[in-house]
Amino acid sequence: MMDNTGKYERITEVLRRSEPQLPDPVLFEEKVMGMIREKKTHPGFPVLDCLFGWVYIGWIRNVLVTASFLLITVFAFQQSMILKRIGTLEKQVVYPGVLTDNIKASLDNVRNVLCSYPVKGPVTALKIPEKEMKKIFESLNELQSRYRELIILINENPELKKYIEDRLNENERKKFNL
Amino acid sequence: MKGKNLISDPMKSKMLKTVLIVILGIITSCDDPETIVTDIVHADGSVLRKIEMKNNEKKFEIKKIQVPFDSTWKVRDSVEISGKDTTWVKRAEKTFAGVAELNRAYAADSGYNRKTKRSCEFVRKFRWFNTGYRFSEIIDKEFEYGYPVKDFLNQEELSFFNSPNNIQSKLENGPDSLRYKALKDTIDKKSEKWLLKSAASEWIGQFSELTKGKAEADMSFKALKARENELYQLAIENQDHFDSLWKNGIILKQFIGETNMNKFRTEADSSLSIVAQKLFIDFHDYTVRIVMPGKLIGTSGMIDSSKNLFWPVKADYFYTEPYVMWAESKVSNHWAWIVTAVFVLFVLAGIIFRAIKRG
Repeated sequence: MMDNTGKYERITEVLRRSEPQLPDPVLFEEKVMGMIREKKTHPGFPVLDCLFGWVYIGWIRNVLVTASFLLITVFAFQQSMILKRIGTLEKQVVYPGVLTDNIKASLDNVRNVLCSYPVKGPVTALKIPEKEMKKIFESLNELQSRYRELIILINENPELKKYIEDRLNENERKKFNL
Repeated sequence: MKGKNLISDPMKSKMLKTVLIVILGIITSCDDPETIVTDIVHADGSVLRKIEMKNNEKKFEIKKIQVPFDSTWKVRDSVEISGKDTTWVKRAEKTFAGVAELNRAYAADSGYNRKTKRSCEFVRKFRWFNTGYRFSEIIDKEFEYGYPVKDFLNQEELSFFNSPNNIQSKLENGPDSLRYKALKDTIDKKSEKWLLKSAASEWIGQFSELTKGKAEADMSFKALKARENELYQLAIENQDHFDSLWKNGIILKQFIGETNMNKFRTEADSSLSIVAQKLFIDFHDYTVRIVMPGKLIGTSGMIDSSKNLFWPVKADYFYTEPYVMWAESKVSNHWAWIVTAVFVLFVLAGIIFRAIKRG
């Protein structure tokens, strides 16, 4: 037992005394010094290290990456659903000029208005095809509807309403001066 | 409780004939102004309600307004002259703080359509990237035991049935008039069947409720419902003399037997009275228009060429099913888009930073 302990101690003593045999100690020294120098010339970014410190903490990194993916997925899903619904809505049947006057009656009105315009030659010479009349009427309808929307917008915004009223008054004054 | 005896009700004498008139939707008097009710819904839930009434004569009766109206409304009158036609227009508007206030106004309504149960709903849903809004105007159904009209009409017929009156007449007088007139005839016949079947079902339902606990098994709702077609056939076959036959108890005797007739005559008459009140509802048509905040993404309504969202409101639409006029819209939360983009870029930059650091 004592012999074995003695042998072990002798061997470790020999190993402790024997130095590592480097093939080229000069080259090794230069390499180590070079690495130290390089480290000194690139001291790192303390602000970025501080800002992105979380990337070295596994669970925070995973949570943030997952959250990013989830947000992108939710965004894509929501937008695609909205686009799909808008697409369905656009396919819906459009009822021409329902909220305005009856089409036939309005066609007559447009004809009356047009016939009352001063035209050269006899009034009976003014012939407008039904198709053209319909187009005029549809444009008129759209114009009326947009006008209505505009009035709604103006009424909803007191600043805009005041601005328009001021401008209209100004115009009236100018007309008066003329 | 003694029920009201309908036999003496003068309204009943024209029951079946009036059913046809109801189907044709000619309840509204020609003197009634054309009314459009516009609900401008704001993101905070408040609603600016506007009423526009047009008439060929300067005749507007406040009690004839189809929606709740009182002295707190701002009213403006104008005249529109188009060619030789003159139209008198009455416009009124009021801002309601929310649907609760609108519902209170409906509950306290003393106008023409006060007997019809109407309500509004507003739902706002925050969905981070967008905020969704849903506004609905709901008219409760009249019949508790009726059948949905879609069980009787096909898709094309339903589409025509739900179209506004001026569109229907335009189609009937247009280049395809023969086709649409034939379609309208078919719809009238099928609608008559739908209303009579629903009325028969309603009578059975109401009668069963009134005789609950008093009648034998052969008079239970289930037993009577199984024989609903018999009642419908009796009404169809005897429609010309329905009044006198009912008064003499002949129809009732054939359907529930003499013993039951003698025992439950009051209940049977009361049930018929309830059905008649529901069938001959005093309702004046109008058009509802809803303007939503943000971009419109869904609706049960119709869209006209000027992108107006509208619903014709007729009694036919809410006999057997609630008439729900809903619109959904969304407003993009651009601040949320920016916050998310910054966050995603930050995470991406962190991952790139780590990759560079690791060499």
